[in-house]
Amino acid sequence: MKGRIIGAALVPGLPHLLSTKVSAPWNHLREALIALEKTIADLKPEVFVIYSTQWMSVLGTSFQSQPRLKGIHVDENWHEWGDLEFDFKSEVALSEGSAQRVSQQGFPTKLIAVEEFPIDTGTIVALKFLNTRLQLPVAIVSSWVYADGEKSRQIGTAMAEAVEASGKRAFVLGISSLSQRFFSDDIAPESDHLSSPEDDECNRRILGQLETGAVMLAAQSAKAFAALMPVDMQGNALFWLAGICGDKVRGARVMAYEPIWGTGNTVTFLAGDNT
Amino acid sequence: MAQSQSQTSGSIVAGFLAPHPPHLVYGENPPQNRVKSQGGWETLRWAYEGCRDSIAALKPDVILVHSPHWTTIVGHHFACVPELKGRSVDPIFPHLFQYDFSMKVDTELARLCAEEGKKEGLNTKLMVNPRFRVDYGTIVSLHMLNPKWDIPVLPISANNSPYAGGWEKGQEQMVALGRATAKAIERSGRRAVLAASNTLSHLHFSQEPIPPEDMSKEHIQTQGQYLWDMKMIELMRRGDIAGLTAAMPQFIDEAFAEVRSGGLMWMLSAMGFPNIPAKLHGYGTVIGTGNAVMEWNLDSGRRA
Repeated sequence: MKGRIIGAALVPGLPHLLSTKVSAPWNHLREALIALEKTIADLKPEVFVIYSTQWMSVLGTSFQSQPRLKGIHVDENWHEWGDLEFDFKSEVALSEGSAQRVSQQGFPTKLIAVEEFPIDTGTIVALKFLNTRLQLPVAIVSSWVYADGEKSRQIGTAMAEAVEASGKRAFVLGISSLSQRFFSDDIAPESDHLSSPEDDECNRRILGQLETGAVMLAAQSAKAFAALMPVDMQGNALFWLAGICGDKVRGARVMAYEPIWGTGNTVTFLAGDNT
Repeated sequence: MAQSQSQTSGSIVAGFLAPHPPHLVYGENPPQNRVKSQGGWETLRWAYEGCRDSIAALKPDVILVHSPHWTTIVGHHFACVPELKGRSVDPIFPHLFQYDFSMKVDTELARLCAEEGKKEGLNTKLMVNPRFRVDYGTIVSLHMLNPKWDIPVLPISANNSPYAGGWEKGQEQMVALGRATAKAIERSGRRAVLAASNTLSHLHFSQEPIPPEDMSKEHIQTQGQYLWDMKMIELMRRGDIAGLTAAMPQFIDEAFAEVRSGGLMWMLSAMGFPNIPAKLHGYGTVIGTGNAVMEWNLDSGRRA
């Protein structure tokens, strides 16, 4: 039986969401992630396929293939907020299949099977909300720093073929902020807001395009905005989502859009034919 | 550790440009690294042997290192845990660097640096989480300078945020951080060595040979990068610090130079922008990037 992508989402991966700090915007994002987890559970996926902008690679695209990922991560900036414990299983066969198909597209790839590999904050934060109850295996792909939007899209497309070949029901996660203009000083979490009105306007335009199902258009907008302002990995997570979801996205539900330390973040569920 | 030297004025005895490709540790095969090689990158590794001899002669109390791979967004952070232990796996080259580290941190100096930084108007923070995993840039530079790890250290983060206001704004902060570091060292009574953990030109190849230490495949990625590296090294060898700092913005733009992260400017500022020739211990490429191991020996400069 052919595997398929049963849903996708764009979610934030900043550690503020796991802190105990009181902040209405962060709380809104937390609530949206909790609601998204219920939506995902109803779809009965067998695996998460994850692209996180915070796992950066140089030697082409890397695929996590260590069977079990367990440890304690301390964020390099927000280390005073404590430890991020993680423990999840890899869907090794899907990672291997993805690497093979991406290689066939002419891109360099690497399988990573190393004990105590430093799993990125974004992946850990998102999975704390979305996978603590479900305990699904994960197939994680890196964000290749030398990949532009088009290459990121092609990598996503190749991974869609790998999902199909796997026979698995996959839920896809792009873990990324939108605008990425952090406040460089300490702020009161309850007073968090977007760094600039221009960032807010650009973020809202991207979200509007997502709501119509135009993921590729949203990715192109993010890339265009990245020439004017900091955008998380120049919107490559959106390009990757456009590639892996293909033409199956019919619309999107923006479950939350809020600032984290000045950056723009959303919990957006991308709906397909069956969702 | 010199915990009670505050009666005498401390000083910076030397500064090193100490690039951190994990390949250097991988090539050396120390017991701390779980992965082993056939060698490789000898010219750079032998260059570091010269640094080790200098450090042994200088007998410093502490080595401070500014690493671009401990990236912070809010403020300049100083490690402030008496002992940091664990395994550091390089997220970029995990197949080369899985290093069991154990380091004594000069927490008193960390507090002084944070305090002096605040006086300079900087946002400074102390990192006090004992489970913090030290980045590979910090570890590689420190290992290559002092593989015995018998000298206390002080890791300092690279604060990225000031650069949002432009290169000049970022470098202004690094100059201020350097001044603060020098004052803190003076107050501490320590004899300090500084290390700017930076590669020069910094464009990598996207693929590596099998094995990674196949030196027949190692060369600079572009001739343009090489020319820039040589120009910057020559300015340092001549002691032309004004020329060096003036050339830096264009160097960073055209060679994607890692000195953008501020370590070199921090070190030069802390040393008072010394117009003395730096000693080139060696130059070599690592997966296409350009790396120079250089030393400013202020102790011998003072004696001369």
